[in-house]
Amino acid sequence: MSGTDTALSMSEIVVHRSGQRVLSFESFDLARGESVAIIGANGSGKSSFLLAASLLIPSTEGEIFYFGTKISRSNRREFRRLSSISFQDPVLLDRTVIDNLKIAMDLRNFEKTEVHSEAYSWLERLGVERLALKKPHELSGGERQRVSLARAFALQPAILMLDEPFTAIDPVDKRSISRDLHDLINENELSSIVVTHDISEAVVLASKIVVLIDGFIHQDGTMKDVLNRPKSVNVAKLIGHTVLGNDDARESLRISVPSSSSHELISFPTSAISLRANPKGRGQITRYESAVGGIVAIVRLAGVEIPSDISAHQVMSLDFAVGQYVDVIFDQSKLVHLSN
Amino acid sequence: MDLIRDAIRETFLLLLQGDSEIWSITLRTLIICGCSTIVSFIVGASAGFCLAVLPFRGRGVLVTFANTGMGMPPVIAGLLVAVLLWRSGPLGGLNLIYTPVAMIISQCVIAIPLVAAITAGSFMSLPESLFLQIRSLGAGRKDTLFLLAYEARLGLMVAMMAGFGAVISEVGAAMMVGGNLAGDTRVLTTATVLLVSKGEFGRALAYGIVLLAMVFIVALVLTSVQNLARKRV
Repeated sequence: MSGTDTALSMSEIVVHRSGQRVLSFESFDLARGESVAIIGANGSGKSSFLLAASLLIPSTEGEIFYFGTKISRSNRREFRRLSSISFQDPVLLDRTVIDNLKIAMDLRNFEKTEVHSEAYSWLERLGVERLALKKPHELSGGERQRVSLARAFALQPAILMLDEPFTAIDPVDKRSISRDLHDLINENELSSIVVTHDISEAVVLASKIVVLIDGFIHQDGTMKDVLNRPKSVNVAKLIGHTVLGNDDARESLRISVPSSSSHELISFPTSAISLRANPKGRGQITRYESAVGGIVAIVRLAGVEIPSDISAHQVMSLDFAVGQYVDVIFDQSKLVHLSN
Repeated sequence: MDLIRDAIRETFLLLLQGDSEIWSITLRTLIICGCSTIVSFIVGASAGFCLAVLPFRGRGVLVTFANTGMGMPPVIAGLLVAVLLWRSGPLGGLNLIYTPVAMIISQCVIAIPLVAAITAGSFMSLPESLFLQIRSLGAGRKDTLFLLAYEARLGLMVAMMAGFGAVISEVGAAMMVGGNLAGDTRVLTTATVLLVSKGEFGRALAYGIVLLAMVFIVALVLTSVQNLARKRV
């Protein structure tokens, strides 16, 4: 590996799969030790992005550099060995858990005398050493994901790639695995790419974010920038913002939006709205919904339904039961003006 | 019923008394069909793997050909091989017509598409992510082949059983290119046909029972291995 600070660089990439163009973007860079989340809806090209980045599918156009070296047909397999990938549905060979790690390490030419102890230590690190002699069909979804991650880390990759790592597991496992994953990525100072449709996973595992819509990169930047300043309606919706027309915003939130503005829409995160119990308030709680960051209360305000963050304590309170009236407090600093 | 009872009694008598003819025909059947099965499996499974895994133009057409070949009438296979190996045919100089080698070739023509189609189906039924995961681990072509073959082992065993079933049961091609020569190309199926034509039903049934027993034993062994593998899945 050369001394460049960039672990992975992709430019002018176009990817076709089954005759369809699934990916097309100008550039993507992953710095050494950086964690980037790729977010997008189903069918947005996220998985294709990861497969192209991990050199498992070829790009029709464009160039890919690993640590400053251009990838070609001749060195593709050699550089593929610098990364590890864990898929959405953990793919394990029909062997024992320990053999899954050992076979992978053998394929990467690890020292034969160290393979067993090294594999076992990674199973221990991921808390699944007791499953070493079990077969994949004997494992739960969370256990399979932990084994898959143990294998990915055991290969000591320079770049770790995770495709929807928490989709197939229950919330309890999700919390503990995401904590372990976060620690391991930081401890090993790994460059990593996490593909997800869940913004909360992205926040936990990455510092930068790339928003992919219909195969195009619509926005990228630091987590804070993208989450607070979406550049388009599609990005705003994807990251869980509420999008309103200016007229609705003026009516419901009573905020001043210039009527002749070229920005015809506004967006804001659910955290911009807070509720205060008031039987004579303008808003009425109509229902609760699960959302990106947890539960939100849907409040009807001047005929417009607006989601609001709500604490577990408030949910338990009768003052915030469905049908109750509330005051709606809006934090204007979180307001974003958007073009339609 | 008497006929069947007599046949069973005759079978045991022939086998226990060490009737040299039945033993030699049985052994020859096993050798010829065993060779055909092994060759068909090696060629058919390799072709099936390529059809399933390698991306190339015209793959769909070849899969269709393999699937069509599954229903190839043995007589047609025999006819094709006979035309090729006939003294005045393109490969007549090899002097293979009416030899066990000719029978093996014709049986392979019957079994290879069957094995290839079943093998291709087995590999195609593996999830694409498994293939990608194996490649991501850094596996080369040979490693990928062995790792995927292990994952598809149940299907591969079915392919082998189907291939063996096809070659041991066929009679038309064996008769056509082997000639049913006593002590040389006569196998259980062709011998049975000959005995029936001569009205020797007792001995014919005895041969039939031996043939059935042979198929049963091979199927039993392969099924046991398959069940063992399935328990481990």
